[in-house]
Amino acid sequence: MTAVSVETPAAPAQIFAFPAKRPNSYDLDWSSAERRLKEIKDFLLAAPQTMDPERLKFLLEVYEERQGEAPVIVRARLLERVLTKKTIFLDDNPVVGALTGVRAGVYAYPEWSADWIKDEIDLAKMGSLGEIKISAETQDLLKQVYAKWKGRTVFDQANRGYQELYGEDPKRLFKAGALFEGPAYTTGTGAVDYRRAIHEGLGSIIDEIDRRVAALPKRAGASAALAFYRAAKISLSAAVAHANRYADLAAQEARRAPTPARQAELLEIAEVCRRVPEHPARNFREAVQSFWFVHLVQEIEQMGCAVSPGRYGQYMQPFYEKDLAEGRLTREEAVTLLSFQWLKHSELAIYQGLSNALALSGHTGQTITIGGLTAEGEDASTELEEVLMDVQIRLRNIQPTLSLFYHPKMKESYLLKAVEVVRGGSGQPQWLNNRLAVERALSRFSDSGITIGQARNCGNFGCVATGVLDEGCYFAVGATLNLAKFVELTLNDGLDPLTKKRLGPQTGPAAQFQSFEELYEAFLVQLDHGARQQRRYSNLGCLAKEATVPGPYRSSLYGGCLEKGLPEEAGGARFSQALDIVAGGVDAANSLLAVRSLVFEQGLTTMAELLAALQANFEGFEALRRQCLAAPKHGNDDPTADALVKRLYRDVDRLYTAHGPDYLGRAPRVDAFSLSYHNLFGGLMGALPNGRQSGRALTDGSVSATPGTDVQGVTALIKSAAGAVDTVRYNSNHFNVKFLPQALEGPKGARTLLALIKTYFDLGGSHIQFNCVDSDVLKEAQTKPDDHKNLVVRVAGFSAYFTRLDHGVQDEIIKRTQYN
Amino acid sequence: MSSLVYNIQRMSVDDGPGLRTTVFLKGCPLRCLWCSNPESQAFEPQVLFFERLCVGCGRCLEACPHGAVERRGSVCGRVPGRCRHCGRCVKTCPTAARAGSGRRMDVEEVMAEVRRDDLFYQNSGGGVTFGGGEPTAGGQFLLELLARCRQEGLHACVDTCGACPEGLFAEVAATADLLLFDLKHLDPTAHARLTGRDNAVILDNFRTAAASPAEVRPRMPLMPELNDSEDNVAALAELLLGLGFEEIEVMPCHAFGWSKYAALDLPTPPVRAYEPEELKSALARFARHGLRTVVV
Repeated sequence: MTAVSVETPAAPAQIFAFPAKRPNSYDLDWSSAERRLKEIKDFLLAAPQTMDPERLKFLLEVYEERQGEAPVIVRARLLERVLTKKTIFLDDNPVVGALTGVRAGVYAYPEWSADWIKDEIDLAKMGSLGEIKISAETQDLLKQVYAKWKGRTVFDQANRGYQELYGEDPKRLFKAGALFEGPAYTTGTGAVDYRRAIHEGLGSIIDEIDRRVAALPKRAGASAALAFYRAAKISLSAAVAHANRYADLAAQEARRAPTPARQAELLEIAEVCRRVPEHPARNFREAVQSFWFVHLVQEIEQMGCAVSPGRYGQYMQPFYEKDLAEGRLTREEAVTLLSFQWLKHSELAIYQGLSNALALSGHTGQTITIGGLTAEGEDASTELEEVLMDVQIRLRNIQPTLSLFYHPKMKESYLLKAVEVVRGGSGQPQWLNNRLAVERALSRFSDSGITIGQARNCGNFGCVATGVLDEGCYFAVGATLNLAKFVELTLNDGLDPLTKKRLGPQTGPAAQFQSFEELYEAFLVQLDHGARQQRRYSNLGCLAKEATVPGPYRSSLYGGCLEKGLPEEAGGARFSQALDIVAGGVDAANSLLAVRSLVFEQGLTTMAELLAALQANFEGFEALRRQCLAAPKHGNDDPTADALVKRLYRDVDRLYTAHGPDYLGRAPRVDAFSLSYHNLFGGLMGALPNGRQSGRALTDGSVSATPGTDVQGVTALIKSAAGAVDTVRYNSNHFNVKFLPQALEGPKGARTLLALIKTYFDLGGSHIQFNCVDSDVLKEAQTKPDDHKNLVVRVAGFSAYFTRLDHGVQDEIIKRTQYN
Repeated sequence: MSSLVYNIQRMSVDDGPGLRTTVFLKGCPLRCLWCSNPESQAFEPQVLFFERLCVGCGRCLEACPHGAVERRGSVCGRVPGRCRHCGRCVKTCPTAARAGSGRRMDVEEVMAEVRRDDLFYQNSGGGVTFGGGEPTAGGQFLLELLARCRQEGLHACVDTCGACPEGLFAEVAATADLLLFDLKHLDPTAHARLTGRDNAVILDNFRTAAASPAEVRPRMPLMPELNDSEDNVAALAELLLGLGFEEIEVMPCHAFGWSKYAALDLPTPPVRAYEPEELKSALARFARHGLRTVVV
């Protein structure tokens, strides 16, 4: 019998020891695959990223040539120019197609914001893979682009609109770390309908556009839809032409290939690129390449965080299954081919200025949703998803990321595989609560007639948020609000201690508050002011994007846009959400808790003394700082502390939603996660009553504990975290926990982890991510304890915080970790 | 009914099946050389002083009525022999450098703490473990806790050294679901040298446990050169195999509690941790005598 093995994969050493080529397998040169994977990965880790000037040149040309045409057409023409004229090349990766004309290249997208070109041109630029090189030619082009675009970018338009309408310069809020200038940056918006694109081909979408244009009544008001259809067709056709350029190049290179094996591989690449993405993929090899082109062109159109592949392991499963059955592919070969694709994802990078780099840390949010339910409510997980997990175990990549949508019907073997990935230490997969994602979809779109089957097609957008895949996009979004900043403003009567500017209303000198409730009321006044500013700015930002940078390519791939004749920026997708993000919530709550406990309950200090200590950044107030640190904190299953955290997040929701319908006319909803906003915002804030010193990062996530302040163990932390926000009203909660892999050892450790996750989800938690660390991290934690306060290790049967253990005990644990 | 509890450890993973909460009762009839929780031995509340956490703010100097604190360089040090463990300094210390051990709790208070992680027990097949000190020294208090667990359907485990009046032990064994039973040395004289008492009652109680309906897991804190000899392992194997046990949980000596000796002004114990190779050969001795070992 020649059954295909679907059991656990062989040990990595054997995976790539391929026997002689089977008669009907692909012409991929499998024998050199491992070497090539290693070389590509080594290159990505070592090579400097380069900013490729081509897009800047095309941008100048196309906007010059197309003056006066509808913006959506100009955008399509720009994409067409990039796709058909940019330099293309083949490297050793059998999956072809790169973002720019150079390896590890990045593009600039100055249509969103050009300020950084002027302000930061001489600063070092850091991207996701390290420092970004900018040549003299690129510098010069950047300056030309700046001259053309200054005052016209999305950011400029939003700022001007805000100034004109509300008489205030919004940049003051960004500089003070109260708001993050979201509209200034490109962004992904979720997961397009990859299934359709790959299974039916882009050609079928072009046909649909032709039918819709023919059927469209040519009456008043139809010009916008006609322009959109035309732009969509230009973009899709350019995407097809882009693939054909690679087909030509591969055929050409095949003629002078160094070996017959490479020649066969190149000829196959040519054939594949000729076929997809225009036509339906017929096998796994074509489907992988089709996926990559469909995905890549979205990134070229607008490279930003959260272009998410959706349920990759489900829409690709039929190709995988068919190839296995017909003997074209083995599971091991699938791991190899996917590893090549994974490295493609890692190569994508972006640069849009320092503030963006600090807030996103180069994160590209290419998140694959695994698990979840089918439309009929059955377990949707596939064998291919287990292959994806093997790829992750092998590569430990940071992109793409896996998001496991957990529900009680999942197979045990599947869950244990996921635990194995967690043990690998890359923080993957992150776990999301499928029940809540479905509840969210139902509650958001009940008025749009969503069916339970559609709601079950939920998935992960970018980092931790959820939405409906294929036909829903995520307006991510306007300005992110820093909740901790509003505690700072409350304590300073509306003045920002950093920039000395008045940012909020006068709520009275803090030293005069007679009770905690008076202080909290003042906080709500400040927060309400901030929430209004956030809504106003976000809406103006979304309007500027809609008017200036609509994305006809990605819009054509979202269910609903062609039907309505609207790009997704104008609300074309069927189940879109416009959400604003809040960050810094735990620092805000912990600061309020500390003031309540130390000043108003225990009388251990006065408000005047506390304010003096904050102003002095606690210098000369060490005992008071320790008391601030020891005050009640989120994350300890302490009902009194937890009640204030919940109250704060409820009030944020209440105040935010009080300002009318959202950008899409729906009931507004808030999202709570940190990306790296906690890092950016923390750098712009003074000392806080929670004991945090000036300039230090805020707490990550939205329900994680501040490192070192959750002292009751992981079960207590999980209970506090699960209850902090209403996870149906909020679009996410964001919860990071650090573990040593040794704490998850063996089958018992795996079950422990699964029990923790299940309990967290039972209690209403929405997102949890475990970071496993190795002995090198432990050694670093010994020398820099402040950076590793939340590192949990297992000590003699229970868990403890590593940095609080005696040095000798720490050494013991490091030794033990190394033995394992 | 109340007793002194010195720690309630949530998310214990090695004191019985699943996720558990371990309730540590204060006070123990033994004085093991290697005890990793020296604050568990006395039946009274105690004050521990962790010098590295002290910022020298001087609040304890003002609070102490017994002259047990003195300024010593940048910290507020302990005056030997003066502390009455009244705990006044603990209340004023902002950094937990002065920490109290031992809180009087009644049965309901303990059960309320235990119930907090109920859903974790349900989802992991876990429960509650009573440890010490020596939990059976809690007498009626422990029996009442066990009865409450049985009433509420909570899986209850007792981690015992076996040094307990026989009648009481029989009642404990009849009410608990699981007994983690420490065996330290099979030779009575050596046992007395290492723990302060001989092992006659302990071995009787172990036989009682083996005959009881409770699940029993024998355990052994393994100390290099103190109780890992060929002779002792052979005697242990004879006892265990004779009673139908083929496996023992072994806890190799670790230094995790040493800082607490300093905090109690006690000398560091005269025992050391294993070298990896040395531990391997110690475990091989168990195997030679027909016992499987699980290192916890």
